[in-house]
Amino acid sequence: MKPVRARTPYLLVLPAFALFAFVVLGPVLANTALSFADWSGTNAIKFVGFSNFTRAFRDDIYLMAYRNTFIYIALTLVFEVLVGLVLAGLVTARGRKTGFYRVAFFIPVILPMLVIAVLWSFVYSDDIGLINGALRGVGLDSLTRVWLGDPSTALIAVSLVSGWIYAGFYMAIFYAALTRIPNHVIEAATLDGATESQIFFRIKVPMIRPMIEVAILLCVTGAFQTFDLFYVMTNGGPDHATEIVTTYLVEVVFRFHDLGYGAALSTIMTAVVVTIGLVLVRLRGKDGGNGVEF
Amino acid sequence: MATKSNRGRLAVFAGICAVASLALAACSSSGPDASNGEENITIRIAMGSSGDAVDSQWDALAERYHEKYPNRTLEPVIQEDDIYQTTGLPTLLSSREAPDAYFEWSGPRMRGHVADGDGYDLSTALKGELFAGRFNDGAFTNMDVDGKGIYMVPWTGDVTNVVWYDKAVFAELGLSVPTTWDQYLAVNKAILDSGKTPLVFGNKDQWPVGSVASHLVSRVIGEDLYSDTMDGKAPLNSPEMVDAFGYLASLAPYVNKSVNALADDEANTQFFLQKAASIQIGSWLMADAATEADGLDFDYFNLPAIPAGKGDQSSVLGISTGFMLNANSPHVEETIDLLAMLVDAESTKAWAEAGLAPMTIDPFVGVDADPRTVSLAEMLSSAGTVVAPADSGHDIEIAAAFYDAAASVIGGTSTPQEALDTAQSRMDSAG
Repeated sequence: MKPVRARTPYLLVLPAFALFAFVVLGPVLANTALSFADWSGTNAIKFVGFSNFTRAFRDDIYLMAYRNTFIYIALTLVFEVLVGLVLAGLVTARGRKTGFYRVAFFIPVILPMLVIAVLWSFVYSDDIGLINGALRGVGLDSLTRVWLGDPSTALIAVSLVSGWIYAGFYMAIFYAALTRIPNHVIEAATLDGATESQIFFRIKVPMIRPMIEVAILLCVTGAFQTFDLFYVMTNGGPDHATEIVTTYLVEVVFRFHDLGYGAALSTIMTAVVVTIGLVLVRLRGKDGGNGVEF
Repeated sequence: MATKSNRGRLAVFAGICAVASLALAACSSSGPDASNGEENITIRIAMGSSGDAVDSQWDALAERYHEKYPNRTLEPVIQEDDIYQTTGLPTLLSSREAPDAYFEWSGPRMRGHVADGDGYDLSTALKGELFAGRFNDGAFTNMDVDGKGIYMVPWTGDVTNVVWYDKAVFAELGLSVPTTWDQYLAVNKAILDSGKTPLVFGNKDQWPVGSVASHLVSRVIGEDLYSDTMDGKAPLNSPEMVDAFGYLASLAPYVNKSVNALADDEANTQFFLQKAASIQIGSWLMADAATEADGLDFDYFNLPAIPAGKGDQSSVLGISTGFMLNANSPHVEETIDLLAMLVDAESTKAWAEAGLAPMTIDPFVGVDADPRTVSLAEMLSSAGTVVAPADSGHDIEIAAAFYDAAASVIGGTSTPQEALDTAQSRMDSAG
């Protein structure tokens, strides 16, 4: 006779659901509710309907922040994921002792972000910075720039720092995936006369494709959470050239004390991130199963 | 048997409670003081850092406060200045251990706290014995709400924009202090021609050049139109504003290339290290100079006059600061005692010696204060017109758009017309 335990599964799920509701669902719902209000943080909350949302779509700084965020995503896909993949390929190349490099490339990941931001601000400094110093040293004075003060270079400069930090993180992920590829596959390719680069791009990379897709998902969604690097290095400037959604949110909430509008901006951002995440997951789901099993 | 056992447990429980109560009473920071029976309390006071010389004075004040009131402890909460202004203070005020008193600028920021229920009306206390004879009436300007109440104990007066210059460079090039805008541009050109950087700004956070723009605009278009513009009653891109921003644009060739990348304290350091011949910033430079400008011979002059301007050409850009009492503080009387001590003769002397310009009636009596600090305070107190920077005296979102425009113009990325059109368009879209 089959035992009747209709409530048991729900009771088992309840603690996890309660925790999820407390730390995720509750704040999301509260934030969404606040999006329809005018509130400075301590005054009486006033319902304003959809006006915060309509304002957001007219707000050119907010729209510019999305443009910058998408450019940042495109750049970090190259500086973080692609460079991480190449580094992983190099440190897994046969016949080389690469322990030192693996550690060296990973060290930026464990350094505090604020320290990195301050350090790179000095590297980019127009008078005492390493980059301009090196350019002057080889007679290329005309190429020196105020890297963080020029709207045409500031976003690229910050993205490069982001790449310097996270390339090592993605290298570690890809390294773990690459080392799981069976040796006989590589040996067979070698016997067939494949070069090291052919083995990497035509065998190894396709075999770790699921991991690359996960890395892209992490990189894209993580870009929307970036804040401290931009806040310390440029504070969104110059001319909002490095304004991203999170730095603008801080400006709206903590400088303008407009919590209702800030909540609307973050609600929109949440919708954008969730949509992008779902699209990426759907794209992954359409074509999978050819990679290494993890 | 069962009753006996319960009695035993009760006795053990009562014993544990008694021991715990004694231990808690001994350890608690808010329990009664064994020596005099009064409650031990901690008063928290929050502020942004004004430099090491000033910050160290808070420890001295804490000692003095504890000496006078043995059951009270003063806990200064000092944050990095930019953090305090933006995220720091709101976070502190909404925390469980909110400060009992906190630093603020007079004007809209202060009024915002009052509207939010975080400001206590100090007018009765300020008329009382504790503060008797400490302030002139003028010290309370801009510390009321619609003419009612006084919500701050005045602390310092900050001149927000003067030109600090390296006297050695001026002497070397035979330059004298300019009194008109044309002379000022000529001085900058002479310095540039000599191979030096004439003027350094650290405008990463936009308020340094924003302050200069506030001063320039008020001088060119007049204080009333400036005020109307910053309060949203007149457009940011009016012909008068464009004309005023032309003066700001005329400074662009003489400023450091990194103008919008450097932070304000980095620019101060550049000036102290003599990498630039001058810097435009407020009177608080003196506090940093006390520890960082060893050997540098420097002085200041007010923004030179613009003969065609409609405003008061000797106006001073400045703002008063003070401490607000948190209306939600459970220790109102004790905090008022502290605020009185903050502005008494001994503290006033300490603040002045640390490089500040106190707002009390006797700011420099018996003080071996730097003559520049004294003269700045006198300039502020004797000014015919005191203009508030856009972000301290007016609508903060308009100020942000205005400062954006100023940053674009000084950075050379926009013309005055383009920058101000963009600023006005932003305000229009904000509704």
